[in-house]
Amino acid sequence: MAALLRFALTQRVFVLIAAAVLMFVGWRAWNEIPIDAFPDISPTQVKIVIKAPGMTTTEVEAQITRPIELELLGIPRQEMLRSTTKYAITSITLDFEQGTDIYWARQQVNERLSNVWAQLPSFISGGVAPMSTPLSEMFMFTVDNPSLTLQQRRDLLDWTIRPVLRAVPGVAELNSLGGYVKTFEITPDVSTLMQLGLSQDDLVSAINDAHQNVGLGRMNRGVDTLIVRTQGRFETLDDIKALAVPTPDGRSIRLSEVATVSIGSLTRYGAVTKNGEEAVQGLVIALKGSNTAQVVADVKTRLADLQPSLPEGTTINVFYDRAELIDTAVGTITEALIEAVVLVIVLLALFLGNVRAALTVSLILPLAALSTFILMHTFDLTANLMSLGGLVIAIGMLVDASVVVVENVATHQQRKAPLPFLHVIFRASKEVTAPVVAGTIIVVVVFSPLFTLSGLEGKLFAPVALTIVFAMVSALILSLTVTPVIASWLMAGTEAPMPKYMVWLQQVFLTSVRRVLATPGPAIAVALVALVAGGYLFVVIGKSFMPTMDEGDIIVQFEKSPGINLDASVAIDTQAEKHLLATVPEVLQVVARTGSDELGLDPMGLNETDVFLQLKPRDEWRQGSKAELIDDIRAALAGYTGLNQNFTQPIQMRVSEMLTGTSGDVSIKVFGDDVETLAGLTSDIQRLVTKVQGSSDVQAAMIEGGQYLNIKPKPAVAAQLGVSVRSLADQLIVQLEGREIGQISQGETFIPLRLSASAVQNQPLRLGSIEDVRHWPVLLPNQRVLPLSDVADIALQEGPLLIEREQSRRFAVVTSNVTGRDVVGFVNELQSQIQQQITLPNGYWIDFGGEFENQQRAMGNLLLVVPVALLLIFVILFTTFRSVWLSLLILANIPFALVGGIASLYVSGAYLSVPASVGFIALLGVAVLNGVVMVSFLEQLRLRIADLTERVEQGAVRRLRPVLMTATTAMFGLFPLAFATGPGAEIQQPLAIVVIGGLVTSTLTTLYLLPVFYRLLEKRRG
Amino acid sequence: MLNRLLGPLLVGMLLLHPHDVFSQTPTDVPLSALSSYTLTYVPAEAVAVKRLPATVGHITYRPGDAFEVTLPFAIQQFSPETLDGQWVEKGQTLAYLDGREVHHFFDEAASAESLFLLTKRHYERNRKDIADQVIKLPEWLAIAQAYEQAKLAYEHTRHAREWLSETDNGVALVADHSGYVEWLAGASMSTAGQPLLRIIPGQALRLEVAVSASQVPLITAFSLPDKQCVDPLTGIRPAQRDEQYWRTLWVDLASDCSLRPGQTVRVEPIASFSGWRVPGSALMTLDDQQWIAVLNNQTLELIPVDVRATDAQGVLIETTTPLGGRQVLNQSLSVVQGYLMGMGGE
Repeated sequence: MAALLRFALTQRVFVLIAAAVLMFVGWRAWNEIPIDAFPDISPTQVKIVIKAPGMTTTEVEAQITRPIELELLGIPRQEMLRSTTKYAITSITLDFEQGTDIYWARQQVNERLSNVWAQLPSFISGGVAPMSTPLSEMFMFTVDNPSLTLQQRRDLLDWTIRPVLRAVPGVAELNSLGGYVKTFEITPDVSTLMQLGLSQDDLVSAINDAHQNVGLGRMNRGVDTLIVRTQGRFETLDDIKALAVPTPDGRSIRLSEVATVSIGSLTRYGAVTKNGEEAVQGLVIALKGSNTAQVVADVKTRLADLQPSLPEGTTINVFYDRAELIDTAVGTITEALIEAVVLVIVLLALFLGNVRAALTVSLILPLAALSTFILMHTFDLTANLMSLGGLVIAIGMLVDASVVVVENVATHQQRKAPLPFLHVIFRASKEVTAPVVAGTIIVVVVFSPLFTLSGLEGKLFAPVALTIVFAMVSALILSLTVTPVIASWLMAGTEAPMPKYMVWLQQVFLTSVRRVLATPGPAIAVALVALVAGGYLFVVIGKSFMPTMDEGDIIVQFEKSPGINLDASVAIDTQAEKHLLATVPEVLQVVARTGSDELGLDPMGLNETDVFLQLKPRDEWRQGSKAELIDDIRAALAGYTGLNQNFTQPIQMRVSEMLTGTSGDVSIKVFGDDVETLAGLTSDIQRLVTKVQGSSDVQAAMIEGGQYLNIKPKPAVAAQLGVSVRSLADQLIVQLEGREIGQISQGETFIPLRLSASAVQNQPLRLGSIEDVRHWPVLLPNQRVLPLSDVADIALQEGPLLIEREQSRRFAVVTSNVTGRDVVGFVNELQSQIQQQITLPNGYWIDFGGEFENQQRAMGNLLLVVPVALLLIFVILFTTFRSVWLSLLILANIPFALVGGIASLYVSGAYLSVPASVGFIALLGVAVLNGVVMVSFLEQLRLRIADLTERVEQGAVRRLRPVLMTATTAMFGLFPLAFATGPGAEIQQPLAIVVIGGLVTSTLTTLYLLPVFYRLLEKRRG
Repeated sequence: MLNRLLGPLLVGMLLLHPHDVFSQTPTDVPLSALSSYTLTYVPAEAVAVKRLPATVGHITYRPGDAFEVTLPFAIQQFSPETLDGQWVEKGQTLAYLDGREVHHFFDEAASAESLFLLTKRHYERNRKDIADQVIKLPEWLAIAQAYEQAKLAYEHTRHAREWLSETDNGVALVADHSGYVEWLAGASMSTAGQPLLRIIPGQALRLEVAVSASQVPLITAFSLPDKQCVDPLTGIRPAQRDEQYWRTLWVDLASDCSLRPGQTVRVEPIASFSGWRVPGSALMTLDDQQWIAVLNNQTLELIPVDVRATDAQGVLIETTTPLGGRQVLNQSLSVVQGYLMGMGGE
């Protein structure tokens, strides 16, 4: 280190140039760092989505989910296998260990899926879902144009907008939702077919034979060549109508004579409504690892470029723009950062009483920040709420090393040694090198436990720790290179005496510390009482996983009766939407999604709706807070009985679903085999949960209640008449789901060509009741018809609506949000209630998940790792002081620091959460540093002042300024964060509160108790 | 206040034993519990018939009602002027005929007429003589026999002549009755005495439909949706032939349906029905039973129904509760369902 110092002071111009280069590179790095609201919190996750039209939940589970799960279970490095099976769809999610390469994971899953695919039903579709994360839903819009029908708007989205946006780098997919997907529909007339002796297959065969272009080869035409082909592909509705279908008597008939040929639409599994009217929505899904801010910006640019080519009157109505959240969250943190820097500079100026010295120290801040950006860029760390928050946390500590150097230079200056100023600086800097390096190492070690966190907390706080480490290491190097160089220019010939107020403060402190040293009993008693009180508060204080970040927007989730159809579901949604718009003026617009999306990434049922509320700017609100607004929205929706409601936010919802497969603060998962038993147990548990104080939005997943109409051919009749299950299915599927038999290309668009009855839904043949199905005419191979009930037994059968599985075991879940109390206390009470009142059958067990699961895991990790960190600190202290007792003396400061942190949490009403725990970790560092500053100086005075009490008094007084500077810069550096109100501040606030409160008590104990105990220790050492 | 108490109470009951509650008694829902929703009602419409899925019928005629034309000579050239199944008026040319025997027939007819007139005059003259016993009985018998034979021969040719007419274009085959022409397939024109065609009177047409044996008891009539015939079909009678799964029904046709014999038509069997029509949105299922919600003062009364069919206007239901004049909820019924399932309650 001495060599580094010497080099810096002898090559000052070089150091300055290097600093300038660092600033330039740092600025560039800042502009190039990907910006997002959050770090990528998703685990390495691969999702499989399989669609199986017409299959019941149990069939999908038995024939698709279980075989795939069985195959996937063999993949190495997997952590969790989850699946959700519903009517006609299954979604299987595989979480891999942290650090697993996503491409490797996807390849593994693809290989296993290929192995098992042949065993699955032939008509299924789907596969591995796009490589996205729960945070990938970053940009949502509706395509509005009052003069276009829903089908035209959907066409516009699918075939004009989607291809453009999919080409944007970083966009994984554009999910189209709502409206109607245009199809060409052929609806055979059974009676006409019967008259002509035709079957449905005859039509399909005629269509397939005609609907193709075949390349025939080339022929020579003189010296030229000519490509020859046959042309038969349909292009228009009239082409299809004009198709000649051969009849058994050797003649032919136009298709339009035996079938209705019309424009129709695909069967809808979902819909979108906007402000009470049906709409069409586009949802941009970003690739995992993409630069969200950049992708959003590019998407907006492409949309703007596209706008002139859209039909007149078309507007792209953006209702969710992640860039806004990023801007707001990053803005909040950046603002806090700037304020922290200003506060720290002011504090330095006040304490040092020397503007030049303050300026010398302060210059370290921008340089350290820019160096941190370079390191963040180098290590692919994005600029987000957490990483920038880490920088804010570090601000107060960044100046510590520089302060120590400058303060010592100032002290040496005051001694007026007959040496060139550069020598003075060199000696002063060299003197403090060891404690400065040790202090930095201590801070790095203190934050190392954060690297061991796993799950969501690990993903969130690893960037915090990494940024702090980057910043501290940068600050250390800069304080031993740039700071001395700057000091050599700025502090030359400016020996400033200590400010008068500082002198006065020292006198006051001397008086008080003498009194404490004279009669230490009361001080020790107070400290012990504080410790006991702190212990009590720790027990009673609320504990939760993570404060909820205000994302700006609100999502209300509706769950309606399980058997509801899409039209009825949408009708309820639209009523609620209009009511919300009318009664809650803070709501700018409402966009709701009912049912499943096109890709099946979020396979919601028709009874499920996510109502997205875009809010007006806060200055237009009547309410003072988001919580009050939510209360008003709850009140507005209170009259909407008969449907479950749950409040969440876009990212919160996806993160919950990603981590636990459920949304809600607490999820109670009941594992077992029998669906009916599971349903009964969840119903009982739901009843219990609603009684526990703090429960809200309590929901039990509707796993029962599905009804299926089973059609089973009568064996004797079927055999005699030649009716098979397949032939029945082929005929009936046309009446219900429709059957795709080809595609028609029109320019850039591909329109499905289907056999379907959807185009003639108003005709009497429509199947609207079981009786209709019973009478439905089956066209037999002998060209006669019989009612379906003559050839098949028709019976209603009950079955599960939903089957959820984890690690190949079925479970049902009850979820609840927790309001007005801590999650851990809530779960403890609930666990006790369940133990007392619920009797689980053999083979059934309950797991608590959701936020509680995360909290337990995080606390478990920290309780394991923090003692190890303390041990490491002890080793560093021992290496520095060569004394076990002195090391223990410094560590003894920690409990008093914790007391302050806990008290501040209690006073502020915050809970002991993961961020608060990180605050305690940060507190360890600062508290230990304060102790080091005090004890190291007392040890230095050992040879100068012989009398122990005087040494302690003088040492304490002379260390007052550095200790106060270290503590207050750390405290005031966090003040902006503690009082920030913008979105994004919520997560860091508990951290700031803990550090500020803890520093108050730790500073007091450093200044008063440490000298007392030091004296006691020295007396014992003789 | 009462509603506030009733809601949670009901929810609690449902959470405990939802199936038991539904399977025992239908539950009324207070309107106040649904105050935020738009509730609209429609009157239940009484319905007397229901339509079954369309099938195919054949237009044929009652056996014996058709006039069959048989020509006593062979035809060498035949030029039809009418199509099979075409309606013809009496006197309308059906075809032009040519051939040696065609012209011979006219000679034969003239000869038969002359002979008939001759024998008739002879017969008339001798009637008095036989009365006056001027001639002997054997002689009279010979005269009468000759007369009767000539008359019979003449009548034969006269009847055949009624179908035929000599025109500038040749010998025309002319309709003797109004009706539908049925050219008989496979008739040999080169052989005399073969049936050539039938004229089917309009009143003789019938609709023949083969339906499932299981549906026969239900069907009371048929409708022809493509022919715009309003309830034209009555008088269903079982046909003679029975098959294992099918029965053939004969139906009298109204004359204004413009149907032709041999035609295949789309028909809708109509079954008698005594029930009500409500919109599909007025129907919900709870615990394996379908229900409608009927306005009853300030409550919605749940009435169990059986759904019998769907048509373009709605759903046909049967219920033991008279619905005449009752208002049926047809909007937001799903929330009633959710409410009864205990959803939304905490």
